Amino acid sequence: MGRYLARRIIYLVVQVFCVATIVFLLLRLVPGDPARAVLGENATGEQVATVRHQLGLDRPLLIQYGRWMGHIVRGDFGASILSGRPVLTDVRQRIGNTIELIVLSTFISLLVGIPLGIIAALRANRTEDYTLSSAAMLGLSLPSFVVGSVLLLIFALKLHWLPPSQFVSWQENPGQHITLLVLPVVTLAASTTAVILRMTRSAMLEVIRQDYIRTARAKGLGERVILLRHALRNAVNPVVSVTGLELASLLGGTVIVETIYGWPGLSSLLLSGVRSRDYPVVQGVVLVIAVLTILINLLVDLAYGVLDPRIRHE
Amino acid sequence: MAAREEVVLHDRLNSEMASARTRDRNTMLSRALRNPRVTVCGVFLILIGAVAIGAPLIAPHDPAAQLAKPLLQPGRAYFLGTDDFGRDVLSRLLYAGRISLGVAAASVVIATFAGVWLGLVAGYYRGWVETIIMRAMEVLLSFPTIILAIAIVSVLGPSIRNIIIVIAVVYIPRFVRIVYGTTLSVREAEFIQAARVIGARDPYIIRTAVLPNVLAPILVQISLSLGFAILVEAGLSFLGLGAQPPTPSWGNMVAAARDFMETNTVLLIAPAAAVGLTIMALNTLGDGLRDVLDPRLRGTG
Amino acid sequence: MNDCMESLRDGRLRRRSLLIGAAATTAAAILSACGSNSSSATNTPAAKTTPQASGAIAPTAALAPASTASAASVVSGGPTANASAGTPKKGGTLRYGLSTDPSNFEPHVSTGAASSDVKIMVYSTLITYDTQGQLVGDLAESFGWPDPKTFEVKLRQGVQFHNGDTLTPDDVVFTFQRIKDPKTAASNAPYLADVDTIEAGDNNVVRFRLKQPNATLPYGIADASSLIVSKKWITSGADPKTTMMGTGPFKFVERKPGVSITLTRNPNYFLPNLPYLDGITFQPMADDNARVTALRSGSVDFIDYVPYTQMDIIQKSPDLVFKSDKVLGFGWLAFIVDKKPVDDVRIRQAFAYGMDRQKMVDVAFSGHGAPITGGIIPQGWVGYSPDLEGTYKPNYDKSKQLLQAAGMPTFNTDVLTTSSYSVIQRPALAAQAELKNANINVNLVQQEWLPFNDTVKAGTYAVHIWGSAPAFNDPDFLTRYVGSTGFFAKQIHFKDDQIDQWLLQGRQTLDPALRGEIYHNVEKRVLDLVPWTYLIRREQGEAMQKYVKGYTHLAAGSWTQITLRETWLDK
Repeated sequence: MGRYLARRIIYLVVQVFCVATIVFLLLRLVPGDPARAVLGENATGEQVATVRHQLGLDRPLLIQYGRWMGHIVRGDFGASILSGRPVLTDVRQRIGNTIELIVLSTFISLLVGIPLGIIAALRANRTEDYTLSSAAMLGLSLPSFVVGSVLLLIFALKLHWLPPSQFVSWQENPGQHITLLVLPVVTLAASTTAVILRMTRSAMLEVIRQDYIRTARAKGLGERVILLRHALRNAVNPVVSVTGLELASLLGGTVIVETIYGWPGLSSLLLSGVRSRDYPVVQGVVLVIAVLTILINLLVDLAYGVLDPRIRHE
Repeated sequence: MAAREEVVLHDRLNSEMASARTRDRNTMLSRALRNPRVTVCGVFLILIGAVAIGAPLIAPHDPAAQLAKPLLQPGRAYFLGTDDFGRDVLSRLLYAGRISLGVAAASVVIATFAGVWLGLVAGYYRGWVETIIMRAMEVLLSFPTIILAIAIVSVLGPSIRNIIIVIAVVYIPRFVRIVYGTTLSVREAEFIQAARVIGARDPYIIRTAVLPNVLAPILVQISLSLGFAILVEAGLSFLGLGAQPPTPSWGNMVAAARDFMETNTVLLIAPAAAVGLTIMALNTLGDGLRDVLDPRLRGTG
Repeated sequence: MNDCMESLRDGRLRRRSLLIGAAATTAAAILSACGSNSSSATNTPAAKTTPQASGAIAPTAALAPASTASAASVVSGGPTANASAGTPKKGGTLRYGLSTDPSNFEPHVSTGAASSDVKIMVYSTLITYDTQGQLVGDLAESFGWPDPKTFEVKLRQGVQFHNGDTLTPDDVVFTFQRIKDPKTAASNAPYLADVDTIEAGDNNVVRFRLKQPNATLPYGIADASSLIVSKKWITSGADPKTTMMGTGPFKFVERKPGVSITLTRNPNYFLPNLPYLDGITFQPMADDNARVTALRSGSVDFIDYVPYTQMDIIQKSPDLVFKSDKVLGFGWLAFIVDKKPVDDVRIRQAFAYGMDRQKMVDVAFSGHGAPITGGIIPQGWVGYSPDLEGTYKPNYDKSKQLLQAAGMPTFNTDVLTTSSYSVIQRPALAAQAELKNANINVNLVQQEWLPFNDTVKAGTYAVHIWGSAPAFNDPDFLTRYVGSTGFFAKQIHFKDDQIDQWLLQGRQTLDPALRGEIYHNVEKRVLDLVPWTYLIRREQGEAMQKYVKGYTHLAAGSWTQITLRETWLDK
């Protein structure tokens, strides 16, 4: 286990290094000059050159790369070219908003998806199963921008039940913050719930057919005990795994939801960074997202071992 | 989403699929055709595909022509009304299908081709080739999909060709993983060892013995990836990074329709339904195929 | 006040200032500055009762020469929409839905209208625009040209920065030195290129000494990126990108990136009684749809940059008011004039005739704009040429003939434009459809804003579509477009000695009639040479709740939202 962990951590470092390098190079290949983004439409060629020099963008690529890497290793992500704020300050401010969305929607998905998945499995090939499976398929198939637009249309514009796109922080007004959270969370949860429901259903189906469940039944154990102690325990593994993957993919996948609902999270920071060619911001955000993604994957793999003693990490 | 689920499923299924050995392909096909989900979705998708390919013949108008008053409601002259540029929505919807489906098909073909070969090579030869390929795939996988797509589209510029490349790159790792896993287990199988002993060359073994075994999971993956590719293309278009106007795509039609959600709801509903139904059909087809092709899950769904 | 009147009485300022162009405007501005000073210094009741009469805003209209548009502003909405109706109430915070999250607060680098709208509330300029588009003093009590190469500004007494320091001529000198410093890369540095030195004189006077006469200097000084900063504050190491400290109507409180920028009332603002609002909260809402929905649902009071697609809905709403103009913003289709095949003027003309611009307005802006078939100087401005209207009426047959004559019966071409701004992209899409009628098949190449800038500069594509607005309301704004040193002319390799000569003449001529003739000539020649063809003017404006009063959309000079300081909430 220790050696396994050590190896995974070495991989992690190498992977992050690769991601960092790729992002750095990709950005330098992107047409569009950050200096012009800083200076606006009216800037003269000389002014652009001046600012490029100030930003060190006129230096050889290798030197820029070396300097950036040197800073990153020391935990210094640099400052935004445009806003002048340290990248980490912005990331810290926004990562909370993104994590709030992700965690809440995943939590709701688990809360809804697992029980419904169990019901679907227990009532396999009956009306309940067909209804739930079809609903899940719908959730899986509708793009988030469709769900988001339609929810806005219905609940904000037609019914006036919920406020439209805006952001009010928890500190300012907790009540408003929560009402503003509803639509983005529901939008995200639509597909995640579907994924979890489907995974729970298929894992449960598989387990129910196993010999030991039959044995348990034969022993006369109550359905509820069988279900919770035996079946669910063994079905939980793929559900954990798919939840991890969902979390990881949601990290960068909130971009559309953040756009539709004006939610100031990590993805919208990244998107605006990409648009204004704000190199340090894009590099920083991608790096943070990549590290988190890899970490979540690692945790999922470790959870595998904890939940299922048959799997040994070597 | 479906594809995310798929990664988990396939990691778990690989070993079993491999041990199933080469199956009689005719049985597979007839079994697939007997599955109602597969046939219904298959027919639906063939229809959609035909409509998209035949768009120039079917569409009543030029999708880019600004020929009527903007924002007409659905009526006799313009079945689904006109958009904010006075263009026929129905014609745009049909042509958009060409873009959305075409991009998805092209990118999945590329991803399949590249993924299958990379996976085969990594799984069959192992050693440093395996290390490089599989680590590279992990790096690719550690970028969230849309982030990777935004990054690449920004570098290359938004164009149909570049979107195809982006989606292909995003999906290659998923194909590699599936093929790699299957190849790993097949390569140690007796019949392959035997083929080696009698002096069969690697390409021959891969083609005749390994490839048929990865076919089934690949088919499932293709169907699910197509759905996901449509989703990614639509998402990119929605963010303005996909097909550029006046070229219609389902994603940019939905994005543009948001300004008129209240007054011209059909502008939003039509493309949204097109994306939703097509992806649903592809996902259901994928499910159906998995049921048919996976011996273990057969009969449970 | 006394100094001001004295200088007028002895005629020193006035007579000398008449030597060069823009003097008419300048003289009026001096009068206006004096006038406003008198009202604020004596605290007349009028200043207290109507927002229009306070500060440096109202008294100018009567004195101003009729050189600028006056009826240009379009105000729509119910009868209560009248900006000056009712008695201003103090208090309340304006919730402002801002179209772009300002990238930073750097006072001397303009990164777009949205950030200027924020900065102009915290900082002040020496000179600003009144509702008629006339230059009036802001921090300046008076200003003028004692001689053609000296521009003199006398500062108001006792203006305080938000930190309590008093504004001194040194601060002003420091500000403009900072703007001129190449390291700042200030947006207005080009307008100050002719300034040799800036000195602080006695009696709160600042003098700009020019290398050569240049009538556009006051416009550069009035621009929203010539904000006066505190020397002490900047040199003590404050970061003007992340924080603000000026002499404006509001004080900067805090910024939550991506969420809000909070300003609070400056009780020591140099104009008495102003501002009326207790504060402004800017909430960035980049998504057009989201911004309009926020206004309609009442979660904000005011939004900028109303999208065309929503203007009708807002105008129809009984609860909302839309204030806009169709004068300033415009778009054009430009040719790299020495690049084949558009080096042939016949092909360029074929484009110019090949579009029904009214139809483009209807399609691209849902009718919220106006076609440009003649020159670009708007009606009411010096140099407006009514006789040129209709020069390029749609004439597809003529286009086809011109193409035929140029040996290209159908013309296929790439046209570069940007997907980042709908005000540029939508006309481009409309133009593409129109040009088809003239056998011109356009393949639109759409790039993001930053690469678009670089690609235009590189001259990769022979044709591109762009849009902007005049930087100020003197016809000399044309220099930026067609003068051989102009930003846009350089990009398309356009250089015409005749036009250069006229532009120089125009800058140094006084008589409005004569100037009108000169700029008419320039406009006509541009229409003949077709380095570009103008497309359409666009409506641009702000929308607000009915209870938001006192705001004026400045349509005649610049889009500066300075009148937010007179805005109040009637609820």
